[in-house]
Amino acid sequence: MVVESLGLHKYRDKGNMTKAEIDLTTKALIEAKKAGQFRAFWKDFNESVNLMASGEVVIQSMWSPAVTKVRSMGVPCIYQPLKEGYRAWAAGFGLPKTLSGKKLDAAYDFINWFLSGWAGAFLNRQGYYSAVLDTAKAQMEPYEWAYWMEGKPAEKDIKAPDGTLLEKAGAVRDGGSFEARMGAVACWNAVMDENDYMVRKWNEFIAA
Amino acid sequence: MPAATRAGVWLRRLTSRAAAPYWQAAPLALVFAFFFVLPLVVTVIVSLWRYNEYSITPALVGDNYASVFSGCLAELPRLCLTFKTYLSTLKFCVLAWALTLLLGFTVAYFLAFHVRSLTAQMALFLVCTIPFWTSNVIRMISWVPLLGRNGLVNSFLIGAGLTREPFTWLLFSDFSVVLAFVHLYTMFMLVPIFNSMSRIDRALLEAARDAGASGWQALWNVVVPLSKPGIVIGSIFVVTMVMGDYVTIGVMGGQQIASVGKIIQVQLSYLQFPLAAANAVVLLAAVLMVIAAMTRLVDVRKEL
Repeated sequence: MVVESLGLHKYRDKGNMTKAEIDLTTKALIEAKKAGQFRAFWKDFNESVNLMASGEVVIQSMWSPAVTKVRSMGVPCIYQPLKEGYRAWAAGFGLPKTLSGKKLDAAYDFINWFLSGWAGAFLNRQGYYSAVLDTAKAQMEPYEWAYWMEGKPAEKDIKAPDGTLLEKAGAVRDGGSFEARMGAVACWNAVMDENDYMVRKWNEFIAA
Repeated sequence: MPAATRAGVWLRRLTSRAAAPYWQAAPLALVFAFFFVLPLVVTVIVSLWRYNEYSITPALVGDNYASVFSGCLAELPRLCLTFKTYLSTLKFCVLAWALTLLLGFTVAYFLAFHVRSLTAQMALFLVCTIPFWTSNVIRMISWVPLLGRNGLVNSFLIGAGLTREPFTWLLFSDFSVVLAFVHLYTMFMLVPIFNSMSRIDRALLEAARDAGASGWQALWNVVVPLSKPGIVIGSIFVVTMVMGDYVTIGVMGGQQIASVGKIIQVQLSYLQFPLAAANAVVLLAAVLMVIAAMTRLVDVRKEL
């Protein structure tokens, strides 16, 4: 996204780069690293929260619940949508083909439960989007749905799934509605065809 | 020979006096075989397999090793990824080794020769182990609030008017990595050296004094040579631990300083097990070479 913004190159698919595109991106990353752009990288939720809360970094790519966590620690932190768009990822279930009989039925039972609404509402209240929105909607209050999904100002205080206060009444979600946010995805995180090469170049970037 | 007598001969052999040492060594040998030799063999085997994003398949190919060293000859004199990483790891090895040796030797010397009573010696020795009461990870992470941008050191320096901007090189830098290594591993250097020193016959030092040696001469010509086995054992500990480290370099280096262990970890996180295994085998070979060189300098077995 930075490379495109600088006008260096227009990617066909940022989620599945060619070798030449990986080279170009790595080169840009190494230049930024040498210029002192990066303070630290994080690998788990808590690391990203600590880096932000301690003031070690002032801007970083974060998950929305992590931003929420930083805010709940009393440190002002904003989830800033970029004009270049969003980096998005999705997770789903995969069943091994070795499953059969009762185990297979149990797996489908779990998936049916997962999509039946309660879990979807939980995910939506964390700022993610569940796979089946209709059932999740049935489990959420209308004012919650309006805030999280429609991008409208909150009628009442917005609470996290665990009951902690997230936003006071009147707040509007960063980036707006489901359509506005998902319509602005610039890049899907995915396993690239050139995954091997990408990992190799990532290691070169770390070593640079 | 009938089967019954043959079994009898075997039984007698197994219970004979000559077989006793083998029985005594068997439990440890089994533990080693199961937890050390077997995993190592599996690693070597897997390093010859093929893989893609979703599966690994048994094979007998050198592709992974070729990938580890790809471009290493073609890109000379520019260093390839593997050489560059080993060089960086080696740099940390040398720095950590030199500093832990200096500190460990000094503390051990003080404990062994300047503290007279055995009780005081033991008490001070135990004091040295206090940091080990918490886990490795906690000991590392505690540096962060101390050295960070808004950490204690920087707040003090700014408060005292010594600097206007916080020093960012204190954390997530080569400095913080080496600092953590020294903090974590000095003890591994201190203990073997202290052990060697406490066996030195005090009469030798008196003899050196009587023969007119100065304090430094006695230290260099008597204490250092006699502490060599301890120094070598401590060095092996420190060097092997630094060579394989990725946690300390990761946490203290902000995950953006390369080490061989870090490369292996990144490959594992992308499920490239055969490639990671090949890297591990190469690392093992490198560490064994370093240890071979060190034991060549001092024959530890003879000196113990």
